Amino acid sequence: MRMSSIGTDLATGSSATSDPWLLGLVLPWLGFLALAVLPRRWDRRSNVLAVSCSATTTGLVTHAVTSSDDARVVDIVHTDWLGELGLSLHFIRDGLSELFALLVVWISLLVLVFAREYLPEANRHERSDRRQSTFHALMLAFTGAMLATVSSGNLVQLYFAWELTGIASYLLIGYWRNLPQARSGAARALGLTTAGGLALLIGLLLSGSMTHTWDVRAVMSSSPLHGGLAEICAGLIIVGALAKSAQFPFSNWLPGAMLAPTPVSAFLHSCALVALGVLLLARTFPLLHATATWHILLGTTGIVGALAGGLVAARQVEIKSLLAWSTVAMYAFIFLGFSLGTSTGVRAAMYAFFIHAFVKAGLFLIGGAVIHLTGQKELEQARGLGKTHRQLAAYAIILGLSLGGVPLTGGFYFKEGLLRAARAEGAWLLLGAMLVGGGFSIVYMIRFLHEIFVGPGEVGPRRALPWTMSLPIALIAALALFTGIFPEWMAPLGLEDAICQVTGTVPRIHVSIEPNPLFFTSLAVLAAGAVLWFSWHRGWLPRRWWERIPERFPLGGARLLGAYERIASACLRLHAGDLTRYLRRLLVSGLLLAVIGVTAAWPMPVRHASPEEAVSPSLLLAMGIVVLTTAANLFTRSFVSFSLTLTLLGFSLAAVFLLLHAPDVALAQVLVEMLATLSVILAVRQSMRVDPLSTPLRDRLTGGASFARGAIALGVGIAAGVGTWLARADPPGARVGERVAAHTQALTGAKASVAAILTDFRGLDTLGEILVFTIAVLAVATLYRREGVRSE
Amino acid sequence: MNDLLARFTIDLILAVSWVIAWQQILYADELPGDGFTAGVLMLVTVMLQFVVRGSTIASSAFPPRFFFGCAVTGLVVLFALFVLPLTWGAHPLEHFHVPLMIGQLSSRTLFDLGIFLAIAGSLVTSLTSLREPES
Repeated sequence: MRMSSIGTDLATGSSATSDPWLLGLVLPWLGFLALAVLPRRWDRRSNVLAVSCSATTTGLVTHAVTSSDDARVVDIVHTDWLGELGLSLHFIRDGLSELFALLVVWISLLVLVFAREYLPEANRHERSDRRQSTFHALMLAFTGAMLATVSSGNLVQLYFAWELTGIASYLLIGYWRNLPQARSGAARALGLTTAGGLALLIGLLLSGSMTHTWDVRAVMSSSPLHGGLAEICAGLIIVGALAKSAQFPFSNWLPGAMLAPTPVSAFLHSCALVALGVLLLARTFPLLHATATWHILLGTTGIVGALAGGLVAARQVEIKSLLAWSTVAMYAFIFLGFSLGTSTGVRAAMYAFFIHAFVKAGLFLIGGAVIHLTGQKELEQARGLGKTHRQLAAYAIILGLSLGGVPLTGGFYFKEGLLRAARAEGAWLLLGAMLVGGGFSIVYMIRFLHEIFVGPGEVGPRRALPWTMSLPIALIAALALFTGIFPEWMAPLGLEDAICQVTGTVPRIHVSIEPNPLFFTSLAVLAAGAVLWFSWHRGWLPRRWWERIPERFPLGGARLLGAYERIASACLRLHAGDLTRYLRRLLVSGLLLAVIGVTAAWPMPVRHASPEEAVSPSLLLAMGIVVLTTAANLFTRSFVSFSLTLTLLGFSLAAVFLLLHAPDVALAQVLVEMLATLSVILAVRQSMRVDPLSTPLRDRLTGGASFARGAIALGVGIAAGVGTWLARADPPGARVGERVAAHTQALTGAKASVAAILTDFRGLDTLGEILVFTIAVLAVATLYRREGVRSE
Repeated sequence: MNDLLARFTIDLILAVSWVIAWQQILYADELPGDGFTAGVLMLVTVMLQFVVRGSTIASSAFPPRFFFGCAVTGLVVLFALFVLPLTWGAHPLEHFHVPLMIGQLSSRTLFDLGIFLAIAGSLVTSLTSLREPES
């Protein structure tokens, strides 16, 4: 039994600070694990567990936010990982993370309550056999990933959490995997957001090279960057934000994501996934807002999104598609606010984001309620609900008018804020786009309300909406109404701190109705939008004008995806399914890179061997056996003898390690060789359906092909040997291994250096490696079990 | 290959391997070996069972679902060791020890145990999923 004296002693009691914020970050993941292993007989109770976990998380995060007094940045966890590269495990709590976290946890809770009655019926309707616990587990994982992203104190860590949200959303969008459209929609969403993520990663690496830090706090207090490299960096980071927030030209993944269950759509479109684009812009605003790319790229895509998004939304026939394209349009407004590059623009954009988050969540839940009540997904099929469900209609009117930007609603205030910010900067093009986009928003919102709630409904009574579905909608509608009466209520709860974090100024959010030319212009545009809808509805405008509006963006995302698919197909054609060809290309590429690297770095210091490094006779003998067994491999004739010769090679290598005083490596070598022998024999027998004892290897030792293979093998061997020789250039005292060996017992209490390295010095690396290894192996096992093993 | 002597031999090898594997986990700080080598050792001896007894008989004694559960349990143990120190304000993976009646249990032992379960569980699951060829 180990008698380590290093580390925290639980018996004497160490400091046990239970930070509610930290617990809130961890709890969703614990809930995810618990739900992932929930027995099938408890599937119906999974919602209770999920809601309990979510409610607890909500309480913890809310308590942490309301009990913090100021806008300072608090380190929650800060552990160095690779300090030399500036990489660390770092979670913070600041104004931005508090604002986003509040929205995430509250909307997640309401959505999970909504899902209680919605999901079983929706699963029946879609003929899905998916377990409810899977849905709830993934929702908690999504929540956990979002919280990890908004709390990341290191930009590289933020990227990892960013991609984690993409994976969670992919699994949720494809929840109804029996629907081909759901699977393709999920893949499309993952493909486009991941492509944007790749651009983001390159941009973050560039920013790190310029600022020499990835610490979020340092980045947000940096001076703005200038120069060519800064423009490229800004462009790449903005591309990441555009893709994540489904902005032009990356909008086309959003409609496909509507095939997810409605609670997922509500969460995704309000404060999760698409909201990360806003977070990214807010985090990088201090660094990049002075670049021309920031203004031009954000401004251009924002104008296109505000105009085209609104127009396309008005054209939609499905409830959720209309709301999805309205998200594109609304986020375009927010991005326009950021594009101004001023603190007033940021203030307006953040306020707009906050209002939009809960209003959009409420509208999606209303859409889900309508689908639940009527079984219809199209606007015109769900008529007349206003007669039988007046409460639902009232909630829809409050939320719809808010999104449409009608005066005395939260949506009006956020649009007015953006218009004023644009006017203050003299950005007349942006101002015009926002006004016209605002007009379109009233068109599609009136259409949404009219098609669903007005007009003759179906004959006979309609069933009641369960309280678990009406309560979340009622709460959100009440919040929207409250915001219309007291528009600044959120300011002291996190909005002001968030804006202060981004702009470095202490804002005082003050929204009001000021009768001035801009106000009246805005009113006139809203009225024009209402008149436009009315004209179309009455048929006063030609139908063909309406039908000319596209249902999708004709450019951008679709063509980008098409180009990506053509490139992917071309790359796939390079694959012939031949392992020897892959290996040959891999080895030749590696060899070329090694030659280029050594040539570029030449001359390189070479350290000559010292007397104590002389090779002993026993070591020479062991190495000789290694060479002989390697040569013997070239002449084996059957699978079994080939495998056994490799095993012998491995054993002789183990002897070499033992003689070089590396018993841990020798032990691992021996065991892995035994495993390899068994695996090869089993795999050959099962996959090739042949008897490994008697089946000969194909004779490839003839002709030019064998000469080429021999040359590659020889070249790789020489490169490996030369590389190893050159790696010995460091003077003995500076070697990492010697430093570790000298301090292992003092620092860790362990006598064995290898154990200390694996479980202590590089414990995080070991954890990551085991995680990746186990997941990969289990995935392979799952493939084998599903497909069987086919013979070649 | 399924005669009495072969079965006795592989059962004896399995028993001895268990002892060696636990020795490697418990004394990883002082002797060569760790959770990874313990896991591979168990894998080899379990696979020997499948080779000698045949997959049908061996599967009933060593059900694949059990090893899948071992792999998941191993990951949970590792994740818990990463997260637990945070609850008392320490760094992730910061080592601690739990007092027992006979000495102390170090979190590094638990870490090696988690690696052992993950490695053995996942590799056995993978190799046993290679099915018998149809006759």
